[in-house]
Amino acid sequence: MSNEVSVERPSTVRRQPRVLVADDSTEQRWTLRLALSMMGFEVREAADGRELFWALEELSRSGGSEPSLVIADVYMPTYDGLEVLEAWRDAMAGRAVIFITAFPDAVVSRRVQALGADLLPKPFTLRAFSDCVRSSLRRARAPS
Amino acid sequence: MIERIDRRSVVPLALVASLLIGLGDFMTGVEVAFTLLYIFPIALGTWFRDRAFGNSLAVLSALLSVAGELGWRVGHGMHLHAVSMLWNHGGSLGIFVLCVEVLRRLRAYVEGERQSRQLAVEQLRHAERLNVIGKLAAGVAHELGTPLNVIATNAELVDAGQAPPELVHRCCRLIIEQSERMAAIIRQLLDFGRRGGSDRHATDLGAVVESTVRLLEPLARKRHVELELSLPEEPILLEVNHLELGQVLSNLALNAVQAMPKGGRSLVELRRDQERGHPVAVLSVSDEGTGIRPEDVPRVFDPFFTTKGVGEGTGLGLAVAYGIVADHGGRVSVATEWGRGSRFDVILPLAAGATYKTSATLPTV
Repeated sequence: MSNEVSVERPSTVRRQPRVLVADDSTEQRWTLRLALSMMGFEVREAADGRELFWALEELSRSGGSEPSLVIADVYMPTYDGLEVLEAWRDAMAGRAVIFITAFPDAVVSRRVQALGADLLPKPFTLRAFSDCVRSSLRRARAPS
Repeated sequence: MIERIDRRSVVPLALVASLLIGLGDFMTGVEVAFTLLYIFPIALGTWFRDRAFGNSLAVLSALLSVAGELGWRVGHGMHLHAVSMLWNHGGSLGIFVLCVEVLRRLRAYVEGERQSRQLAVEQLRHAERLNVIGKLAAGVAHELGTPLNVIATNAELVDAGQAPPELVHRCCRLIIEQSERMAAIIRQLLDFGRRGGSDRHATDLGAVVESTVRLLEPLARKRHVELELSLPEEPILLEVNHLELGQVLSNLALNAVQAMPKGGRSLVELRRDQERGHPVAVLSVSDEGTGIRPEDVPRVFDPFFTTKGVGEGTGLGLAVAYGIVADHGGRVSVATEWGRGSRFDVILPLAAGATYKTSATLPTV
């Protein structure tokens, strides 16, 4: 346990775990990037559904294990976050997915659940966010 | 008990009574006495008791009718006049009561259909209202949720001393900007929800329309849209809040401009007209743009409903316009053809007191 590198505070030896953040709000992306980098993540951004789609396409082609976490807004221009992640469902195996939305209605909750992802309703506190990131990563890494 | 006798009971009652009177001419006193003896328990039973009881009486009457026919023949053959008369009248009365019951059931069926239809319409209206409230809630949550989230997270990062010193200033700027954005959304919502109490004066509508169009012209030109203006020769004076009316026109005209991404022509026309015998002022804004999809037409006045891209429209423009026009006792109508363009008409009653009946809060198109 003591030798293990925690995700929140990675050592300089290991490369920083990467996170893909998809949100159409520039301010929201900037803020999430700041919060995640404080938690020791390297952040890659997607500004809408299409960018998220291509980022995941690239990911599925490369076959690497990073990013280990995808954080996506539900409502975005072009494609919404749910649509894209449903399309790339297979490529998401073993990775943590968190959806953020200001309006988590029953349909959204059901679809998020079906994907085995987490749903974080906006507005959230920094604490709730970091807790969600940790538990989501822990769950994704645990063999199902 | 008394309240059970309603209009529906009066019809069969009158029917039976008139038949009795008519028959009385051909009947002896004894026959009338017999008839009354039969008719009263059956008829009263049908009126005062429930449907099941009426049904059983109808079956009984039908049996009596058949038995009466047989009984008349048997009685006639045996010269038993009293018995034959009894059966005979019992049978005819049975047919009366049967007719009455059929009539009653038909009426009950029609009434039931009418009630269920009315109930369905009421439920639909309720669902529609809930739908609008739900959409409003979703819109508010979505519009305010993101900036609020940005504010909260940045404040926490600064507060916890986690933000790098060189970024603290940027965090604070974001908090201020996002607060301003939220304030603007709330102001728009208040505009939308505002009802009455506005400052109104007798205003020349043409002057308001003209000055608003002049204000919008530079923006329209930038988008290669030509705003054409058509005003009546005689000024139209009406008690309005000129700022609010200007807002209505600018919301409609901005939509017209945005509906023509490749540019085009938009006509803003003010004219007098008559509607249902009342003089009205009609302000039309038409464009040759994309038009509105048929399935979207019923929703265009819904708050937060927008077909524009993210950041282009909040979906409040038409809802605000609708609210202001309803405040002035008027209404907004839309005529549109997908791919051809749209025309929005603001219809304001000119005669005092001639207001349109508008729904209390939101349109149900």
